[in-house]
Amino acid sequence: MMENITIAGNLFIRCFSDGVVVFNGATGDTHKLDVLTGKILYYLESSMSIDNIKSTLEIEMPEQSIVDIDEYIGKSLNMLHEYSLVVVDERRVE
Amino acid sequence: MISKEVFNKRIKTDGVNIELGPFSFNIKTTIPNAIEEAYINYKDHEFLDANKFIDFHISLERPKGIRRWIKPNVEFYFDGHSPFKPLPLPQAYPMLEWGMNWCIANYGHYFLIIHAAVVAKGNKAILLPAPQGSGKSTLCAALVNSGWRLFSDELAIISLKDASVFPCVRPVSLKNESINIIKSRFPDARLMPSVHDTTKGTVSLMMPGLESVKQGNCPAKISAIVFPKYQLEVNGKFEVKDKSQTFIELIQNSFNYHVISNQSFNIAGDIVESAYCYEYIYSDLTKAILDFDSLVDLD
Repeated sequence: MMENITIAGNLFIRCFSDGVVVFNGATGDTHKLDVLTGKILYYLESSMSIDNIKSTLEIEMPEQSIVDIDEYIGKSLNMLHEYSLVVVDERRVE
Repeated sequence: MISKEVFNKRIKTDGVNIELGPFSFNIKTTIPNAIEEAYINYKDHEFLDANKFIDFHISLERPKGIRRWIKPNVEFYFDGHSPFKPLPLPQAYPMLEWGMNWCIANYGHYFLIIHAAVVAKGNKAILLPAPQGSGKSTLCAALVNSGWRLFSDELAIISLKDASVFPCVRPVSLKNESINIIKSRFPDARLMPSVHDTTKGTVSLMMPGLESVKQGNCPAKISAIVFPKYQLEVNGKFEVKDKSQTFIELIQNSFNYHVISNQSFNIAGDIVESAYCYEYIYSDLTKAILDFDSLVDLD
């Protein structure tokens, strides 16, 4: 299984020390995200792959296990998908 | 200062052209109590020549027909259209002020407009965004009677160029219990006669001070965003508020964030980033004034 992630066009992201806000120019909606989800969105927008994001977060959060980081990324992607900020398309690869 | 004679003549004929911060209004009416209160509130403002461009042409008129005589009404007109239902005649002047707010909130899209009181000392402005009933106008009235400069008790008008806030110096709308609170705490405050049974209860408009009017064209930098809330028997205290949450609540209080979208997102972000963000729950105005004075000393 692999994930194909597409970022919504026309996103504006503002990072504060306690959270991130994002404006979706396509829908006109503004969302507040927790710091980690905001960071993941920011990395995705900078064209980082999920694997690269994982390794970056492992370095940034050495106290967290790889399993926890995987879980965080999964939850964050769900949230971003729910807010229509990314489209996560799961494809089965033969 | 414009003479009462000239003012009365103009407002009944071509209308008076008043500059209010970045906006200009042409106001027409023949309703005596509205003329009287408009003169008291705006006599010290800048009046514009007839050939100047005017943003909003508004008038208060009495309807023709039976409602002119039985339970008389008043109607507000903007560019010849009446956007609201008529109100009882004694509410004529508050209707004029509410109508002016409506014009700015609905058409002032060269600015980010937020439902907030704004006061300032020197070049430091404080935004007080809050819903009706939070004690925003009472706190605003107390501060402007204690040396703060009034920008507005309803509308923060924020530049999309540099995020500074513009004054729009108009009367402070006090409602219900806050009328007597301000009258007894500040006997020198100049309040218009109370108007009863409005949709907001009893309303009395407090005149802005002359100093605020004189500086009506001087914008200021937003140094703090404070969400006030009146609550019985609490010891007023500033609680630091998350910036991301402040951002969300700020745009929820905006009239036109959705209209100017990405530009307002960037400006709101700049304001929140550079300002101190607090919640302030208060019950005692004396302590509140002292607490707000201490905000001026923050870098």
